[in-house]
Amino acid sequence: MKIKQGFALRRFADKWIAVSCDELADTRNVLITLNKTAAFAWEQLEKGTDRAALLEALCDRFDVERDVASRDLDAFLQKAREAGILDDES
Amino acid sequence: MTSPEALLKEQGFYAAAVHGVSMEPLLCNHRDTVFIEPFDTLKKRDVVLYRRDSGQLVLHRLLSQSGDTCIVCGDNDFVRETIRVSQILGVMTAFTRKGRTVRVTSKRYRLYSRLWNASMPTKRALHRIRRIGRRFR
Repeated sequence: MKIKQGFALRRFADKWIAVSCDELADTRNVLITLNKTAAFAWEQLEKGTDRAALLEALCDRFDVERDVASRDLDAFLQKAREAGILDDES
Repeated sequence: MTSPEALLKEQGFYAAAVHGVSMEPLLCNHRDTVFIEPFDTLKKRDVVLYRRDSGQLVLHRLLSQSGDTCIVCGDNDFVRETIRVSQILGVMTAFTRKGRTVRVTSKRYRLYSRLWNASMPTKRALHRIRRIGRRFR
């Protein structure tokens, strides 16, 4: 899984924001506000990863129970797919 | 898609990638991102996001304000535009340039905007001279 080309994560003060950039921004203006955990997941997805590795990385990085992290991760991935920013093939 | 007006009202901010070249060299097309917040008062040299009567969203710098009338101009433009305060959606409070976040309160940015403002008459005069020069080619 990987974040599609044309999307970037930006940090403004305490806010993490994902926006469309490059030529894509001319036709599709995406603005998604992320929390710290989702921003971390985004950074992993920018490099390319799979669900299992991402869950592992989240559990290592944050003090969170595996079940909770798994549920939250699925919710995040679902939202990312709906927004069309996730490439499952990569 | 939610409008910038609605987002500013609902979540108190708006962010988007830069389109166009009118704010170069500060903000580059497709590369940089701006963070916009609602405003109480406007200040000279603020970079404001406004909606033209045509519906187009524009990000330009405020040169002056007199009552409800504002004069704005892009950093890379020479043509001034007169707009109403009611057309202004918000003010740029931060931006990312080459991926790095800069707040408009930073010393370097404030120095840049002051220098840009001070060089405006010179740039406009050079632009006029170049235009006249082209006529005689």
